[in-house]
Amino acid sequence: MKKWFVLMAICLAFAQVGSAQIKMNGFVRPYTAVNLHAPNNYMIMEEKASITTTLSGSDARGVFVLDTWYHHLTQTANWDLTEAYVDLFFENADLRIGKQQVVWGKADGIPINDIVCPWNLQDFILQDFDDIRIGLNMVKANYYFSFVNLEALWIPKFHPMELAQSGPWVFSLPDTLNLPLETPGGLDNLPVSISYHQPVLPADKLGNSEFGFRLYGFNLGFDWALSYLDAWDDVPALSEKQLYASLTPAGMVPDSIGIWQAYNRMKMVGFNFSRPVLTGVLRAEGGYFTGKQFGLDGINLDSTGATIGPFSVTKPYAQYMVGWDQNWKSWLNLSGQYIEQRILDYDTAIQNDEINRLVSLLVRGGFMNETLQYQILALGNLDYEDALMRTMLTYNYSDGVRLILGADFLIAGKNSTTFRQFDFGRFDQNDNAYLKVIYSF
Amino acid sequence: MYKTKLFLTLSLLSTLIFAETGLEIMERLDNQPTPDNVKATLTMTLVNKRGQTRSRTIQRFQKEYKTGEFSNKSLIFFLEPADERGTGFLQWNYAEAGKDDDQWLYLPALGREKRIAATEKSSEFMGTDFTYDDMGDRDINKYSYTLMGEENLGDEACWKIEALAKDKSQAYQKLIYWISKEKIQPLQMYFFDKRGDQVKTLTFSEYKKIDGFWMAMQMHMVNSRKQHQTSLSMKDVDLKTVQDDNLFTIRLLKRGIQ
Repeated sequence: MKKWFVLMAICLAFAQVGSAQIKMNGFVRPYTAVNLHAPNNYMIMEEKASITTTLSGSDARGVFVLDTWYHHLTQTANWDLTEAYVDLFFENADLRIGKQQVVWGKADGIPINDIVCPWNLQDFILQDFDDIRIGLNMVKANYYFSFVNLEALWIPKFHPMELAQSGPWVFSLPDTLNLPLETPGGLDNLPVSISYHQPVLPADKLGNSEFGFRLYGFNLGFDWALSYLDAWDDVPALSEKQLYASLTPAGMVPDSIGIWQAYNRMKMVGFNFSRPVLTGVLRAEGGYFTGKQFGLDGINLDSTGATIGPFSVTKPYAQYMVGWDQNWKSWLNLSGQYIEQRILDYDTAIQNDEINRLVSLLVRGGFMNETLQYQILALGNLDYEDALMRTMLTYNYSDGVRLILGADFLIAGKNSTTFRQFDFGRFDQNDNAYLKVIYSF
Repeated sequence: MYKTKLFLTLSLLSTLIFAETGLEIMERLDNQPTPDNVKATLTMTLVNKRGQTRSRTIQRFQKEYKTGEFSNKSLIFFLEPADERGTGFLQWNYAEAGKDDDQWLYLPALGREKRIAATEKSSEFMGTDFTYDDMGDRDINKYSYTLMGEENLGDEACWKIEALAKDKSQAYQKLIYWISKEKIQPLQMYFFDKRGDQVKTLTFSEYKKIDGFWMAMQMHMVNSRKQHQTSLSMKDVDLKTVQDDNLFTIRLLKRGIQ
């Protein structure tokens, strides 16, 4: 289906832009990262080449982005057509069909309204913005009225968030659970192993497609947007727990737990705006989610020893952000954000915490007419008290050649037993330094 | 002898009576006919103190509005270097005096436009010695002017005018202009910072009259503090094509020009 969709997009592009102007650009990027903790293992050693081909006509355009990698550590090569779409331009409307990335929202680095395209967390959240979003096959239409614009999108097939399956950035969940059991000596905690089962993707059928709308404009100095998305949650929620027991002389003793997860349908209503105020720019964004499922703690057994539900509960959920950008000089630009994620109508049996608060501070600037640029990003969780600090120094060696030297520090706080997208503490042994050389053409 | 004295006195009086003030000359400069529509390709060559060069090429579209809410709108796309390609900058200048511009920057890697505060106009324009402010029109109401005298720059007779910022929010507290008396166009500018030090010198050269409008095909900015300079040359100038209003929108900023 995916290949057919991409092939259709390519054919459409060539048909539309028969007398097209063809442009190619891209980059080659060797990238090596080493763990700062002994024994200083290499974490990344790869070459990436990306080629963007654009075929432009007067009222249409075809764009193909082909990325290829060679990973030295696994000695594997792979490629991906990360975007492949056709643009059709009309007087008051644009239509984009094919594999594409969609960006909604005003928040930097934290998806609140920006949840159309799932994230690729193969390298946690440390990839570049254009690498971290997974392009989706979709149809996106924009209609431009005089003071307001409307965007509508339809995604025929769900694609979940991608997590690392191996390597240093695997989100490993607890492999044992201490189960409180009645023993001759009283109540005792019995460690029981956990086996996780991969969630099953929703069936490929029309009824499982995703769609959304966005109304946006510029009025009274505000860039604003209202959005609605009816989609699958990118993160699966607990759907079932099964307790397995073995017959022993002492009777039935639990020895393992099977955990199943499932993707759930949810709806998001969001808003965002930005506006210059005094000497800076104020940004705000919020999203209200319904249909989001949250796993429940504990195991309830019936008289036969079988697990009984419910295993998860549906609760409304809200995320909101307020941010401020302040640019003083070319060598000092600051951007701060406060983000709060809150489960509404909270139930204490829910595995996730009721409130999750994040703060971010980005400091960046350039020297020597942007020949040398620095960037420091600090992202911290106020509740789990863990943090990520990214430091980066870019030297623009010549036109099109950049050397990037950076280091990422992950600071541990309180442990969390459930999945968190910004779980920095989980990877506190992954502090790393890296070097990228990028040749753009 | 008496007649000569009388002639000199009358000449001096007439000069005093009929001489233009600095403000009047600047108003003449400001009122010079400017093209309603501009499309041009600009190449900026950056030279550091060791003589190393880098270059940026941009395509610029500008539209002037004689009536209504806007003074002008401009849209800039980066063509070179390759790693900046696709970056766009949209600016709306308002007719209302004192009203801040609206500005948006589109970075392809970010995938969305980003609002920029008007105060960022004092930032360097993509690493050049020009600021965002230098790239746009300067509001003459934000400075007070004094005619310092007349000087020749090369073969051209110029008025030398000092401009002092009316408030401290301006990036440059003092400017000195050399305005060509023949063309009523600037030939040179000195820029002074808040401490009164001269930080930049801008020279305009290779003026050409295109479709009835004077256009400086070369501009050269020297940043004496950084010992860095930027040469800006203009080509493919098109003043005839009427730029569509829809060009100066976020839609086109994100989409780019075909």
